[in-house]
Parts: sequence; structure tokens; C-alpha cells
Amino acid sequence: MLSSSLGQTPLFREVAAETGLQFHHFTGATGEFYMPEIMGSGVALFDYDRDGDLDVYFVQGTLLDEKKKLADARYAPPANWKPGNRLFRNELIPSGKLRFVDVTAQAGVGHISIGMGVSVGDIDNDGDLDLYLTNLGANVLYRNNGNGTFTDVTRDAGVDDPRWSTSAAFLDYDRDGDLDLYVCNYVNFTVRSHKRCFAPTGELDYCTPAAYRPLPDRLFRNDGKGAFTDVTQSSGIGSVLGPGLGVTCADFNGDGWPDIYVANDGAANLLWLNKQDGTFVESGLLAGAAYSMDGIARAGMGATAGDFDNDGDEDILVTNLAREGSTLYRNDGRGSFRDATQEFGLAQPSFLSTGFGVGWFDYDCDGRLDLFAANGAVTIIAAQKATPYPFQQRNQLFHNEGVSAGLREISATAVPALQTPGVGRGAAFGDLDNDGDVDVLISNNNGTARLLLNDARARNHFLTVRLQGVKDNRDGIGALVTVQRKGQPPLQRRAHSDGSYLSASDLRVHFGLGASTEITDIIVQWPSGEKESWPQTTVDKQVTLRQQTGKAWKPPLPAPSGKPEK
Amino acid sequence: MAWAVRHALCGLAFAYACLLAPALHAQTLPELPVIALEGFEPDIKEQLQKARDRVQTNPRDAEANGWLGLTLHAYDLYESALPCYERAHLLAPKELRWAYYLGMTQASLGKQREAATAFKAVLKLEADHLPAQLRLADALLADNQLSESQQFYELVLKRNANIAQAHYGLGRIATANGKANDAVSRYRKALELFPEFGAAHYALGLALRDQGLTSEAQQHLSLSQQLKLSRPTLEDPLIMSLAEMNAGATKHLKRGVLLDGQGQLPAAIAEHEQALEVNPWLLQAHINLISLYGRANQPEKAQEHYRKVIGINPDLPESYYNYGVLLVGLQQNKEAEQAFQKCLQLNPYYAEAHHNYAVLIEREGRLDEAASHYRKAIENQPGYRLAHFHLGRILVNQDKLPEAIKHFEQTLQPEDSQTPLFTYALGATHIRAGNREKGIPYLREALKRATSLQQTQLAASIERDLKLLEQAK
Repeated sequence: MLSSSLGQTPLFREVAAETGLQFHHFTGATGEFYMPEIMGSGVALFDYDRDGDLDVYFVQGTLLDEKKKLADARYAPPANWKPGNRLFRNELIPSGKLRFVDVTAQAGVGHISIGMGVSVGDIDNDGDLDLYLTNLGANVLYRNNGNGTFTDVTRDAGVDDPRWSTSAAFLDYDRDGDLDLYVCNYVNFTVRSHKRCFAPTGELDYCTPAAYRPLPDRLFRNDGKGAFTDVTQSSGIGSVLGPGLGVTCADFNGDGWPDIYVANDGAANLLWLNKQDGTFVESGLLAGAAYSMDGIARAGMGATAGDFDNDGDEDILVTNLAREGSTLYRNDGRGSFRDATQEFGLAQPSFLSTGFGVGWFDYDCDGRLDLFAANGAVTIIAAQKATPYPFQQRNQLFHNEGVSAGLREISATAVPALQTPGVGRGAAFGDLDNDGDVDVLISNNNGTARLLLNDARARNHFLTVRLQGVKDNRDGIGALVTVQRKGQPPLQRRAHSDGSYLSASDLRVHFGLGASTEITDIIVQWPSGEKESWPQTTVDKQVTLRQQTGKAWKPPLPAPSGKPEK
Repeated sequence: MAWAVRHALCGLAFAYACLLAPALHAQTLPELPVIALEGFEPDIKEQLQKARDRVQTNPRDAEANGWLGLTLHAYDLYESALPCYERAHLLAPKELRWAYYLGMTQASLGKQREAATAFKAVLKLEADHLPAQLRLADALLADNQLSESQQFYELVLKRNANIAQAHYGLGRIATANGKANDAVSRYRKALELFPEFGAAHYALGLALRDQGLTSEAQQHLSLSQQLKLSRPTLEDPLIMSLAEMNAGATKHLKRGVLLDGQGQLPAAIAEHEQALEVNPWLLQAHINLISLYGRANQPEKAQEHYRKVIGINPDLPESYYNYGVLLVGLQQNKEAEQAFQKCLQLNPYYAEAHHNYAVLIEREGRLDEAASHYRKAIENQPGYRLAHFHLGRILVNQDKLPEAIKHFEQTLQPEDSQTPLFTYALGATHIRAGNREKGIPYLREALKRATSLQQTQLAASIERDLKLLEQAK
């Protein structure tokens, strides 16, 4: 079905400007090559007003050196530019038209900082989504008041971290029904302690993380009453540290408990396996998910987990530096991984890209997770030296052609919008126009945001599942949803907003169903382990599944394509 | 002068196409790259300009084109080096080195298939060129052409069965083909030939893991961590020529850091000094030399570099940290304290500075303040063993035994010469907290370890304590 559309109509259209989504990232660069300038920033897709469509939150940068003025900026922001993070409300509902309106001021979320990332979750299970912002400097937790406004509750919640934080993820690691928070910290850079670093030619350039010391990540346990406890030490998370940039949480070893995977920049990636007693053990090395095939640490930036081979377990994709290429860690179902980058045809096409935002998503609804990577260099590209911002690369889209054929890059042929280079950082995935396929929003360092609207679904079918936890966290973050199709193997997807780089994606669970039009069951394994099923027969719609309204499901989850049952 | 005029015409960029196009008559040759030279170290700039001038004078001279490629290649400017090598190879197809460097550059750019073609061209000129055979096999493996890659690894081994890299490559192919036992044998063979082959330890570790041999797997994986970058090298004069082309300061700095890591202090110092000869403003070299000279018992030289750093940039915490460590070595503790304080003013997340500062002020009896800095050290480096230990000691003195125990528990790994002492501290604290059942086993463990490490004084102390405990039963 896909092949007929290739080379004819573009799979995606870039529509940011025409939909009013005008955001230009400001790096704050003033010529000193402060490392954080080149690292930001992230973007979130979340329905902040619960009106049924995805709104957008962009993280913004600012001048790093307090003594400098906007006039000192090496790359001046465009006219009408406003400092601080921005919230755009989607007018799709009720207007029926995809159109965004800047509501930052009324929502009270225009935080001004050296912004890095954003994470989304309903921390108080009150039915609306809250925001956690990471910065170089104090982080911020905005609690959603449920009336279109937010309140900064960082201090009361006890989730601040004054250091350089990057990606963050909400997860219910203790399965107590509320969302806990994992925060990646990068290196001990401060503006005052900035170092000058040089390319092999002696040219001033951005430093690598090796110029600084890595900082420990942090884990905060939600006590259910609006406050969090720092459990970094007691949980064991503090026992290993690395320059963390990306985080994705999933049950990697199939024991029913959420684990945490962290992409570190130039150090071993970490796989924190949940010991089911409030502690974690770092298992990346033995799991085969810490290094590249040759046992060398790469510059991990973004990370995403998904069942790309439809065998019922979570595989990991990590984006790295140019001349390293991305790494695909394929899960054997028990939490042991194998570097399958080459085998699946990803080594060569990703080799020259410095990848950041990344996500598995089934753009053509054929039932297999495809891959998108937002790319952009972190050091000067020699061939672009004469250009104003010599860090530009093209983003990439890979079509999943199945286990035997691997991942095929289709950026050049299928998506003209991907031919425009940029300095891609954050990438978030979600169905912004509620048409049943997944769109991609990209935040560009020192550039404008891009919204790639998906037109690729063709004749394939879909199902979008919105979860509503009652005993579990409100949006079912961490829940495993299985769709049983008539005459086809089941599909499993996880509810999550984490992964990618500095970004948060649509919490709804999207299923591309290919030609399937009949669903016999939808089974949800909630984070607490409880399983329920709902009968469902029709496709091409969104369903909301509220916990405790389904039928208790006793048997093991159906096993996709021949894998042993869990 | 002519260059100046042309330079102005072409703007700041090095517009080879603009400079050379009229004279080339080279429809079949790829265009030369455009390189902007501003910002480069003066020596490198000059080196590149000379290489460019040669091409400018003799655009169809293979040597001149190849030389420019080599110069660019030496500074990791692969994209720019590539067309130069392509030209050189086209102009002199029988010159082995241009084909070889072309293959290397293509491989560095991920163009494995093209690299394989170039290495095949090398082998046409010299069938027994071992480095090219190996690189060809590597390129084919990276391109997932497993059976052809296997042929070339086997060819390498036919000539010399002791090439560890070829066994490793064959192991990788066996792994990809699902032949687990073959893979394990190949990796073992590679390690037999070169026991410090980090990548082979890693591959063997994962292969053993898949066979359920977890304990042996862990041993190899652990070794792979220690030996990450260690791999066998082949004698390859062409690689040596390439390395010699790099006249940059950062090359010396990198090599100096590597040598320091290998414990080669005088050689590390020499490389750092060479880096500064090339670029006297390379602050990291000065900063490292404070530490290197300090450890080499040359405090005057260390101080000299400290002064230079401060003169250039007074805001670098690492320079104060290294200077503080030097001063501690010179027993100038007050001055050292100030240095660590300064470091922390500039970077409050500097765990080692917190720790060292705490050690110094603890000696002055400023226990609460010291404990606070130990805590900050741990906050920024949770696995900071010594900080846990020292904080644990202070907490014991303050009779905060449960908290002290928690910190001592963090000191038991890794197992090394300090483990007996730390285990002893943990056991003794449990006993002091009234928990003999927990404490005595730790003391016994500490005694066992101290004895095996011939730490006689410590062993005697533990033995004495154990006897007293027995008597007090």
C-alpha cells in the first residue's frame, strides 16, 4: 500500500507557519561558544485544556551571560520575537481547523531561562496535564490548575535541580498509582567555568562533554500529596552517573515493572532495571545496551523505545554523533539486547547525522513502527563554515519494511520538507489534526519550529486509544495496550510521553492496523499489573478506555508473532 | 600578492573551484573543495595554504592533489579530503597510497561500499597489502556483505594466522550468521593473540551471555570496560605518514592525556609542552600541566603553568582545583583551602573540590562545615567513595550511627586495597550501634581481606577488636 504512494504525493507537509505555530528558538549565543547554546531545546504535545486536541509547548533559550544584552546576540531573534517558553492552544476543537493561538501569557507558563526540555504528566491525578521544565539552572514544575492556567509549584513539590538538566520522564516506578519523575542531568558546566574548546584545526568550537564532569541523574518519588521525595540515593539511581541526555521508560525485561533507559553522551548508556522494591540495578553492560557493537561508548543524545519488530518487547533506538550513527538495540524479550543497527540497514544512512529527537511511530498505519530522527550538528561542519549557522543537517524518516527487509530511509523521495536542513533537536510525535495518523513536531536550535503534517495513511486503518486510569495514573502512562486483530497477529504499544530528546509526545496510544478492519479485543495491562479487556469491532476512530470499566483479563497477554508468552 | 588578490576575489572562503577552474581542463576530475581557513591555527593554515598552492600550480599533478588530501585528512576534514584523493587516484591510478587513503576517507564517511572498491584497487596493485586486506574486510562487514568480508578475513589469516583483528571480524560474521559457537571460538582466538583487545572481550562477553554463561560473560564485559580503546595495531607506514601530517596543538594534547592515562608521566608532559609550543593559549594544556608537574615533583613548573592560566583566564575552576591539589602536596594547606574555595565559587558542582576542601577543614576541627561539603561532593558524584567514608566517620563521631552506616555501605565497592578498611569501618559502626550480629561478619570479612592483601597493621587492629568482642560475650 505504501509503495503506491511513494514518489507521488508527499507523505508529510510542513505547515508550522500556516497553522500559526510560529516559534523561533533563540540560542543566546554571543560568540563564546557556551556549550548549552547548541543543545536546546525541546517541545511538548499535550492537551492542556482537555478539549480533545493536542496543544504545543516550546522551550526557549536566553542569553547565558547575564552581563550581555540582546544586542550582543550573535544570532538575533526575528522581529516580534518574545522571550520565554511558549504555549500554543490548538483550535481544532471546536473550529475544525488546525490553527494555533499563543496563550502563554494567560496560561502563565512563559518561563524565561536557559531552557532545555519539557516533560508531561498528570502528577496529581486530577485529570489535567502538568509540565516539568528542565533548564541550565533551576527546573520548574507547573501544575495545571484545570482552568487554562498553571501554577509554579516547584518549591512545594521538591523537584528542583539547579544543575544542567536535560530530558525528563514521568513513570510510576513503584506502581502506587501516581507518577514519579526521572530527571537526566548532563555535565557540571556553569557560565563562569566555561572552557574554550578547539577543533583539530585549532578553530574555536563547542566543547564535547569530556571537557566537563558528568552529573548524577535524579529520581523523585511522588508521595501522592503534591510533593515528591528525592530517592536518587536510596533507589540506587545515584550509584552510577553519566552525562545524561535522553531517557525512555518501559518494561524492558518483561517482568511487569517499568525500567529506565538513559542515553549518555560519550559514556555508557544506562539500563536501570526495576527490582520491584523501590530500587534499581544498572544492567546496561550485561544487557548489551550500554555500548555500540565494538564495546565503545557513543555520544547518546535521544532515545526511544518501541516494539519495532512486533515481537512483543521494547527495542531501543539511540541517536548519536555523526560518524557514529544511531544504534538500534533489539530486545530478545528478556531484557537482553543485540546491536542490530547494521542488520536493519540503519548504520549507513544514519552514519553522517548527529541525531537528537527520535521516535518510533507508525506514520503510514501499516502496523509497523517507522522511525524519525531530528538531526543537527554540535560542532562546526567544515563545508558550511561560510554559512551563518554551520550546524545544519537534514532530518530523516525511515520506513519499516519488516524484519527481513529492515528500515529503509525514504526522506529524500517521500518527504520534500525533510530536504530543508536545520539544526534539529526536540521532536514530538502525535496526531495534531485528529485524523488518525501521527504528525511530527520539530524544534530547531536557532531556527523555526517545523510541523510535519502526516498525509501518508492512504487506505490503511487505525485505532487511537486514550487511557483513563482510576487506580493507576490518570493517563495510564506505562500501560501496555494490546490490540487483537482478526486474522492478524496482535499489536502491542505502550502509553508514554517520554523518549526522543528533551520532548514529550502524545499520550494517546496509536495503532496502525494496515488492512485490518476487525478488532476482536483491546487488552490493557495497567502499570499496576491489572489487566482488562474491551470488545471492539470497528476501526478508524479514537476510543477512551477507563480503568475498571472493562472485563478482567486473566490469561497472559496475547503474544505477537510467535514470541513466548509473558 | 597574486594569492591575496585571488583570495579577495573569492571572499573569505578558499574557493578552489574559482581558483583553478580555468586551468584544469579536468572535466573528468571532481571539483576541489571549498574550505574556509579563518580561525585555524597559524601553522595549520600555512600548511594548508602550501598544499593548496601546490595544487594551484599543478592542478593535474596527482602528488599535489593527494598531498592536499592528506593535509586535510590529518585534521579530520574528511569531506574536503575526499575529492582531493579522488583526483589523485584518477590522475595516478597506479599509486597505491592515494587509493588507500581514498578508501580510508570513504570508510570514515560511512561510504563502505566505495571504500571497499578503493581497497580492492589497492589490492590490484599489491595483492598482499595486509592493511588494505583488513580494511577491505572491515568495510565489507560494515556494509553487511558478510560472505565477501569473510573471504578477505580468511585471506588475511592465510597469510598470517596470528592477526587478531581478522579472527575478531570472523567472530562478528559468525555472530551475525547466528553461529554462536563459531563466534565464541573466533573471539577467544583473537584474545589469545591479543589479550587486551577490548572489542573482542565485549563481543565474547555478549556471546557467552547468550549461551547462558553469565559469570564468564561478566568477566569479559568487565575487561572490555577497562580495555575499551585497546586494540591490536598493524604496522602501517601510510597511517604513520598521515599522523605525522598533523601539526595541531590538540593532537599533542590528546596524546598527552592518553599517555597520562597510561601512566607515562614524562611523555605526557612532553606532549603537553609540545601542544603549548604550537598554541601557547591552549588553556587545557596549562591546566593539565599543573597536575602533571605536581605529580612529577616539579612544583615550580606546576606553579608556572598555574600563573599562566590565571593570567589568561582567571575563571577556570579546574586550574584552582589542580593548584589546590599541588598545594596540598606541598603541605600549604591554607593556600590549598583558598584554591578549592575559589574553584567552588566558580563551579559549585565540583565534587572533588568539595571533598578536598572538606578534608582540609575537617583537620581544623570544622566538622559540621566539612560534613556539609562531603554531602555536596556526594550530591554531585553519588558514588564518591572517599566522601562517603569521611562523612561516615564524622557522623560516627557525632553519634549519628544509622546515617553513618548508610554511607559506609556505599564504600564497599569496588574491591581494592581500601575495601578492608572501609569494611572494618562499617562493621565497627554496626557494633557501636549495638548490632553485633551484623557487625562481626563485616569485621571478619575485613580481616580476611586485609590479611590477603598483607595489610598487617589493619589486620592486627581488626583481630584485636574481634578478640575483645569475643571476650565481652
